[in-house]
Amino acid sequence: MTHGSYVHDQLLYDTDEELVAAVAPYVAAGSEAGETVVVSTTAPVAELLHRALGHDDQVVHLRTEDAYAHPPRTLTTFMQMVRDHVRAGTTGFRIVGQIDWDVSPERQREWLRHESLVNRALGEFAIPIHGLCLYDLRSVPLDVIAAAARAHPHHVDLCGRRANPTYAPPEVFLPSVATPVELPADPAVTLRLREPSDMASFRSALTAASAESRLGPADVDAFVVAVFEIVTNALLHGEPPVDIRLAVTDGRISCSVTDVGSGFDDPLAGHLPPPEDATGASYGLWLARQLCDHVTSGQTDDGFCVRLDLLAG
Amino acid sequence: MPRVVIRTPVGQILSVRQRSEPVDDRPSGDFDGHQLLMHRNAQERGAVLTEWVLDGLAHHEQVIVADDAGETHGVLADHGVDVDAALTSGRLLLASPEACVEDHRVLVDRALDAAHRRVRLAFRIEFQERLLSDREGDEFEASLDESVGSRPFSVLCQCGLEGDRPFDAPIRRHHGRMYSRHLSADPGPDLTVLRGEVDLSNAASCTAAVSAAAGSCTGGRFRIDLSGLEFLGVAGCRSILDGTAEFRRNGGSVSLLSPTSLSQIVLGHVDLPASVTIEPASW
Repeated sequence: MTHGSYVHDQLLYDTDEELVAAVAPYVAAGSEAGETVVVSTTAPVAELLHRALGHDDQVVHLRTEDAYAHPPRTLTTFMQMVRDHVRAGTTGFRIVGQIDWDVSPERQREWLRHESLVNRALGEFAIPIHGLCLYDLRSVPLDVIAAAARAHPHHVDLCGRRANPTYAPPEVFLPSVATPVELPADPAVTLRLREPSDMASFRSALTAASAESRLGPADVDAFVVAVFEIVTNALLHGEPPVDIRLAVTDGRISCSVTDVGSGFDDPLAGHLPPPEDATGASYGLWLARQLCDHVTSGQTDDGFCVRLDLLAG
Repeated sequence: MPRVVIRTPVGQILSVRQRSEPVDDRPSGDFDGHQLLMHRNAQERGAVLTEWVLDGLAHHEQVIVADDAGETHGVLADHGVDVDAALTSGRLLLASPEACVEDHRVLVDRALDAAHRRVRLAFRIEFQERLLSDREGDEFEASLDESVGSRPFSVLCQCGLEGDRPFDAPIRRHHGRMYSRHLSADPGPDLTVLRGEVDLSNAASCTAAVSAAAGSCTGGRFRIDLSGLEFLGVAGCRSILDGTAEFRRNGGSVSLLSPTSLSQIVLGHVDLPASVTIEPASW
């Protein structure tokens, strides 16, 4: 079962030998076929593969900590990478990926969403694309492996490759790993906006409050832009008044934007880059996801709420 | 005549211009030329008009305000201007809108003949809409341009943004030159300068200003200086793209010069068409 032209496999292994036995021929096949091959793994796995395969100019090696640093940005980067290679004339694309799951539960859910979204994001190119995701049974939490399994149309293990009957497409998978939206506790700033002309005065308050965090100036700028895109959406597509709560702690800045409208119910909203001529809310939400560490949304007692979080460091 | 233009959005002008005593009789820089103020409400207009009147009086200019039913007296008095003293001295003149549109040059030349070294006129776009057809409005604004270019004369046109008032025509008649509470556009022959902030609240007027400026661009490359733009959201970015769409459709290219780091956040994420390039600041 594939989605578009993207073949997305989950490899389960619990020894280095199993890993090499599955990945080395996978990489070699892509290289021999003249495909672009990108291998994004931790250093130990890269070393194992290098020993098995030797050096190959056709294979691009990336480090997990670089390639998989921020789920929404990783998705955008992969899409851009494929787009660039398609323009350069590549006839096929092959990705070996290894996510670092030793992260917070919040971030784990972000990566699970990534694993699902990649089916849609890479499924819309005209060339065949193969992805092989590495799940080490010795280190990746079992609940993560089980959840991620539903995001992969195929599974690969010692017994071979087979279609996954529990595969859930993104519009089904994403709600199952959604993070409930919560208003930030102990807000330093609370504001109510009724019309676009209120935005400029709020911007200075937001910038000043954000500067109290441990975030650097570039992060504060990014957060201000993200919040304003969400406020713009609320004023433009939601229903005023728009209530804002901003909370700043040493290592985190959080902002909720709540309007009394019904919000959006598309689980993919803002997860994929908008088309070039997009003018709607999807652009602002997508940008906010690119700029923040966590974006959650949903109905609350007060209305539809989007919450943005940015972490220091 | 060298043209000096508004350099900051209105709020910043008001915060730095606190003169109460006449300084000298040189022309004021901030209000020189043919300006278009886009105001959101009467309070905002009143504050700028007062600043403009006081600036003219401080510089010993003849200050003419097109006035309807004595409204200006109250507006200026509410902001602390001694209107009666200014009227008695002859330095402030409240003229009927009809007299202004009939031939403003008569008023200007009369003031100059009366030994005023400079003259300034404040005129509301709504008078124009009431008294003139579209074609006559074009001609009136062109005649103001001509007077500003040939006499020691400046004009402050005022356009309210209340309700659904269309503002494309006023901005076009001012060749894209406008300023408002949070945004100013200053088109020149080679370069259009945007200053302030562009978000949802003023994206439409930004589109109109950029469109008018791009329409006047005679070369194949339209350059916009973004170094003074303190905030640019997706709506603002879209407004620039929309404002230059026709120019680009006709084969032109657009250069966005020296965007601030904050503007670059959005510009870096929006999928800009090939006809639009970003030129970072060079040192």
